[in-house]
Amino acid sequence: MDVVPYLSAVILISTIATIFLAVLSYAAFKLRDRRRPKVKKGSGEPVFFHRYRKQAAADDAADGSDPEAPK
Amino acid sequence: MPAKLRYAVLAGLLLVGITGLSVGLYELLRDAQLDLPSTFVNISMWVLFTFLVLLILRYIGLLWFSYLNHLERDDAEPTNLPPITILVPAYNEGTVIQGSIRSLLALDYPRYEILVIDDGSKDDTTLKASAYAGDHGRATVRVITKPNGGKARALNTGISQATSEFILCMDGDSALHPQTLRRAIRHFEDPAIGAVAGSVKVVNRTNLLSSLQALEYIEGLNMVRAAQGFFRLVNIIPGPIGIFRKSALDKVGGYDHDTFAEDCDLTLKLLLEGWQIQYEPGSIAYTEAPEKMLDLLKQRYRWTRGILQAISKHKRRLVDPRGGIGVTLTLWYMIFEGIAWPVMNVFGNVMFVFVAARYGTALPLVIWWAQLTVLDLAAALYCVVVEKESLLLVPYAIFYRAFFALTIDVAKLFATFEELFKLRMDWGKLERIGRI
Repeated sequence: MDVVPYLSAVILISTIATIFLAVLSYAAFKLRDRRRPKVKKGSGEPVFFHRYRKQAAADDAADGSDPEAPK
Repeated sequence: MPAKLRYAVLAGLLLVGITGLSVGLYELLRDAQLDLPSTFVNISMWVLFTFLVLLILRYIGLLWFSYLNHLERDDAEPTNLPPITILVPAYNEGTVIQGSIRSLLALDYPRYEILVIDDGSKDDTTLKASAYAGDHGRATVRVITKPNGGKARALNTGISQATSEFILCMDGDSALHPQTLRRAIRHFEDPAIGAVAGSVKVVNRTNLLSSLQALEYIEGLNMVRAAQGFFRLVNIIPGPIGIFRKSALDKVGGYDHDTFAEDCDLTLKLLLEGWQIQYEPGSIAYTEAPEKMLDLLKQRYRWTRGILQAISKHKRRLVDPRGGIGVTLTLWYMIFEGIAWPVMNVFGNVMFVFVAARYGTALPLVIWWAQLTVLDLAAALYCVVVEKESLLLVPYAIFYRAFFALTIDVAKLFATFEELFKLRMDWGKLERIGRI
């Protein structure tokens, strides 16, 4: 039995699939790498949470208000 | 049969086997008498199969010189065991840092210092490392913290704080073999040796991707270093394990931080300064390899662009052999490995697929694949035996050639284009799994 045609078909299909998946994987890697939270340059503010400030917490404690409450 | 004779027989059989199979494959191609009407396709085929001959010579050369280097190995105990400082730069390595330090405390060496440099971590790296700070008999552990500035700056801080003439630089996510220091230090009895590159092995062989990398590290990286070691011209001292003479580091100004492959850049600086660099397979660092495809691509993207940046930084030496003809040839070899081969591999596969689709014959693709697989299998068998690795890794060479190498080469090709167009990039730190 001549195995070369079968081997050729297997290698051909696997090569095409590999090239296709390699390009797709690279595109996915670049896409994932570029997705970042949108933060104003230099603002340094966290995206979702209010920054904890020691002095503000002390003031809140003094006047009895909730230090966790958003200002 | 003595080990050295066994290796000689193996190397001889492999060289004869590669030559025989290569001739057979070329006979097959000649007998097929492919009649391709396109001049472009004919020229491309001629170029690709000439390149394949170059690759056969490359594999034979690497096998031969790594074997010669292996013959020169001296397993005698070193006569002098000077103190060594181990630098462990760490940035957010909380999951793995204690495992690394524990492996360092188990090293078989009479006097050494472990210096953990916390590069402004945002996790509990300092806390976890500090738990081990102090005197441990043969070893002392110190922890330094500094604002975040990158691995190169962290290592430079460590070099300036090191108290020994010999320095081992490693990654915070690596673990060392107990004999690492003893095996490496004897090379420094030769005053021309400025550094020793160790062997990196993958510790997490948990899936196909990491097992393929385990093979790649042994066959693709360690075999090349062993062959280069014969000429004392190792071109990349790997980040997870490099042992340096402090005076050599001082002379070249330590690590620069203008490339993303600071280890490659430092190695080239040492070579250009005239220092010789050897490879020691007994100095082993175990490291975590990426277990997911996109993490692997992230790593290879950084390696590719970093190496290109390092070559570009020293490009004047490509045509100016005043740093030594060996260094100039090393730089050309890096271009061959870093650019020419990935380009030709991707071009070859695309061209052969086109020929198969257009002219109905996949024979050139089969011969290209079979030739490279034979070379990979032979190299894998040799490396697995010489490095006393598991024989189970050898069959992975088939998958390595069929899927892995092509996928990585496609990524390298894109990364090369991005580097040519100077697209922005960042360090891209990998998430650690914590298997060490």
